[in-house]
Amino acid sequence: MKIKKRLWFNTVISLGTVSLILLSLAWSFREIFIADRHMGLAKEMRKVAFERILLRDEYLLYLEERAKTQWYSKTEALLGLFALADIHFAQEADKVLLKDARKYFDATVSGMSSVMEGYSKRDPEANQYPGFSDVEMRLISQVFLKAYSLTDNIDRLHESAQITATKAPDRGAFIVVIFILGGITAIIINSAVIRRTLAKRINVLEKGVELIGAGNLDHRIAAEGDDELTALALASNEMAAKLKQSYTSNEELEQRVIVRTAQLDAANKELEAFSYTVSHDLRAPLRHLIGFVELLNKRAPASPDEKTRHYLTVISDSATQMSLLIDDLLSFSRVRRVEMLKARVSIDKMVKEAMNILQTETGGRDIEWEIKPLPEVDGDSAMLRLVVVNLLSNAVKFTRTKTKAVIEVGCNKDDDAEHIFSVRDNGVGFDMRYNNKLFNLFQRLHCTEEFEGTGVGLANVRRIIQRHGGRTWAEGVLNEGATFFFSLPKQKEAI
Amino acid sequence: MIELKRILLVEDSPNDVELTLEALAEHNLANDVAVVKDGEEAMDYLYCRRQYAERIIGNPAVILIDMKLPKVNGLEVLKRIRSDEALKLIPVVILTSSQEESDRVESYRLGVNAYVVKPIDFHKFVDAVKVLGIFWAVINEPPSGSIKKEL
Repeated sequence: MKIKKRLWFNTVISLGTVSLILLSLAWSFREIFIADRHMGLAKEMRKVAFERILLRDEYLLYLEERAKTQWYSKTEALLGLFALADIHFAQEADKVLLKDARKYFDATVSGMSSVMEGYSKRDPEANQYPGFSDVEMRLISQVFLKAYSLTDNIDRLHESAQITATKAPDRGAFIVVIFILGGITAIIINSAVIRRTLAKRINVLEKGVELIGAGNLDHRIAAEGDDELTALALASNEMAAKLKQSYTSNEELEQRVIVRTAQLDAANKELEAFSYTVSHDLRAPLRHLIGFVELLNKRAPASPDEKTRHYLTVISDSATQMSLLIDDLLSFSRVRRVEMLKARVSIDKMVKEAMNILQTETGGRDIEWEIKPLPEVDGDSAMLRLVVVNLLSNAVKFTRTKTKAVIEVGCNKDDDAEHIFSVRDNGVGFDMRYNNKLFNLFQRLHCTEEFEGTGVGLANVRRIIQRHGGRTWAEGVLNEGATFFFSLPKQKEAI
Repeated sequence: MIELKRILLVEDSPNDVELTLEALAEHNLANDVAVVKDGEEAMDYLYCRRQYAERIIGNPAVILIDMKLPKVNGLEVLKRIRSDEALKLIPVVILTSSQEESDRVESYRLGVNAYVVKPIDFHKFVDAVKVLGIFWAVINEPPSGSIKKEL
């Protein structure tokens, strides 16, 4: 049966025992009370009987009316007490005593009444010797005897009541002790049964759960019986089965990941081979193109035909444009392929270096550089250098139309989570309508004649910043300038 | 008296050969250039065998090798040269279109003397070839055994 029920049993047994004890105590008290009452009654009867005897003797001695009347009233009283005694004395032995006492009483009553009536019938004038006749004497001695017996019986009733009164507490205590012992025994037995049932099964359960916890998900705990431990065992088994299921599906997932990674690795390798081919094989014909055009140019007469010159120039420029495109494409693919090497990078230093590199293009031009304090960040230094060079070279390129170029590089300090860098220029700007196209691959907002370029630079920037977990965006006003923003997440303090 | 030493050019593309010779010619360095069109021929030349059995004995002052060659590629030729006792001291310059870092690193690892990427711009190409030619064929002193011609 369920353990809870068994434990309940202990409670029930305890409560039951206590109730029984209380009941038996109550019963004992009742018995004592009754016995007391019996004793009282018997004492009362004895008193009255005794007074009656005194009055009888008084009458027999002095033959007064007063004694006679009083004797009769005491007799009435005793009769009344007998009636009460009949009601109260319930035990067989007592009832027998009472019956006999009543017999004796009746005998005394009839005897004395006869004597008294006989005497009162005597002629007072006859002046007989005031004594009793032989018959009367015999009656009187009968009465004496019966009166003794009566008193005796009353005494015995009293005694019996007394015995009960003394015995009742003892018996009560005895019963209480029996109940206590009984209760304790029952509890001990019940507890022992519980312990025995549980000890072994808890052991099995404990070992089973340990085994499962250690990794053996095939182990099943034997589930006997029909109580809470059984339920626990079954639940543990189910848990082990479910765990095994999820492990297997986990393993399957891991397997799929391995396969997928291998596929990706293969695809990556193909891409690398592709880029390598581009790097080599497309360049060679390009060089030939350009080279032979130049040779052609050299052979052409000093003042050649305008058109011929023009055609040759176009061919040459196109080839050059193509080579730039190839270079940019190659670097763009490299950004995707190559692994990032994280390090602490000084953006400030990179900006200064980039400004140096751009010196050749900016020499002779009036450019005002405003470089605000720039923090250090964590990232791939080669890639971030590309970003800085790209954005600054764009700023330099697109401010070519202005007499005085102002290029401002800064970083927003307010944000807790990110560094937000900005490169602002006062160049040709752009129409905000094309804002979302800016960072697209090969997307340009100008033709090559206005501003050279392949449309890969900003796509590169976006790709690199994305790989670092940041965002890129821009704002611009046509002919007034543009600001390019990129964010890099702030690293938490290094562990 | 400037001595022009022999250059061995290993290049499979005739266009590239022409461009290179033109570039060398612009600076009068094209007098003594031997041209072979793949790795096999290069080894034949260096060992004076087959079609080169009759040539004047002597090592070139420098070997200019293109990376991309049919049959045996540039790195393989470099490896063979560097593994032969008689040839391993000859200066080798790899002349290539490839900017791949792996190629560059591998070349130096195999013992190349210089790694030059051919510029797309023709003028820059001519400049590069001129510098190479003047340095290796005129200024630099090769290890013994190289053929010289007086200018």
